[in-house]
Amino acid sequence: GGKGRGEKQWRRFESYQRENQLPDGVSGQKIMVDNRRSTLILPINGFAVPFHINTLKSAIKQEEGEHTVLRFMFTTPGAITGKKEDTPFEDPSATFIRGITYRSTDSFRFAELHKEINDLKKAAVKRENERKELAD
Amino acid sequence: MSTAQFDSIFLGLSGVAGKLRIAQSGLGWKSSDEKESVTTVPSSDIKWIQWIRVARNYQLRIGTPKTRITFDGFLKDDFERLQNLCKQYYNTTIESKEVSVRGWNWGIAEVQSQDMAFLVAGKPTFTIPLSQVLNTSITKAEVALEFSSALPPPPADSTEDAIARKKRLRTLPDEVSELRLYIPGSARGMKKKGDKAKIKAEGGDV
Repeated sequence: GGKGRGEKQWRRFESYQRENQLPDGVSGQKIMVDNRRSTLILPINGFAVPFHINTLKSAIKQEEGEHTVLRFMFTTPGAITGKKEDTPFEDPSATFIRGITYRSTDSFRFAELHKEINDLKKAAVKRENERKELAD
Repeated sequence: MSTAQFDSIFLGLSGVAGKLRIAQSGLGWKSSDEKESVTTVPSSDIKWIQWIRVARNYQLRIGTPKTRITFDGFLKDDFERLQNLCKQYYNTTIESKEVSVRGWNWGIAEVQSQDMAFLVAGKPTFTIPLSQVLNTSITKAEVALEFSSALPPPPADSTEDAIARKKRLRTLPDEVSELRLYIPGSARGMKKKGDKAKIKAEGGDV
């Protein structure tokens, strides 16, 4: 059982193996979702930076005046989650990207993205829970 | 020797493509927007050249004495031709840099001359100019970087109608306004200095 005292193992995941696997859509330099790879791709200073859905803790949308703000929170050690901190990390001493914020005046597109990302996260959590149940 | 031309090339984060010409005397980029002036890099200013995958396919990064200039929009197949041109004209070998596409959020944040680079498994995932850092704040083991916009401002004459505005915004990239890093090492450091930090905080010094 996963709830025992045995140490949890970090399970490896990877968005892409090679840079030519990035979808063509990244050239638009907009936030996008690659459902096939369970990955969101964030434009950062001209780069297309993939983040596997396993790294995402939550995506929060807020309205700030004429801007819509999308805040991506990523899993890191040392985060207060309320529950027992037992999430394994490949390298807990590394530097982690904990949050990335985007602001846009295109509230409609950001709302759509927010939904798409949350759906992907929900599906990933569901799959993970099913995997755990099978392992028990 | 002749001049080579590459079409649909972007200067920096520019939303408007242009033509890049490579000649013995240097590089010249001309926007398809006739109002913009030509950007040139004389061959004597070319210190180093890198090739790296970005959102708009491949980027040529050129180090000059003052700054670093980037051109986006090259195809993978352009590499060999560019390599030959740069060797022949500038006696410079293009350094091909691999990016990480693993999708991990952990690695090393490192200052590389004018940029902050984030490396995953030893390979960069992105770089961002330090000149764009507007503000930084440090709390416990967290560093927050606030960025200014590098995008062109809306037309000053405010004659832009709703359709033109929509069209302009569509060509612009989504831009990071804040990046927060968690640095465990600094957490340990803070713990050791915990008491001192507390005293400082009580003294009203932030």
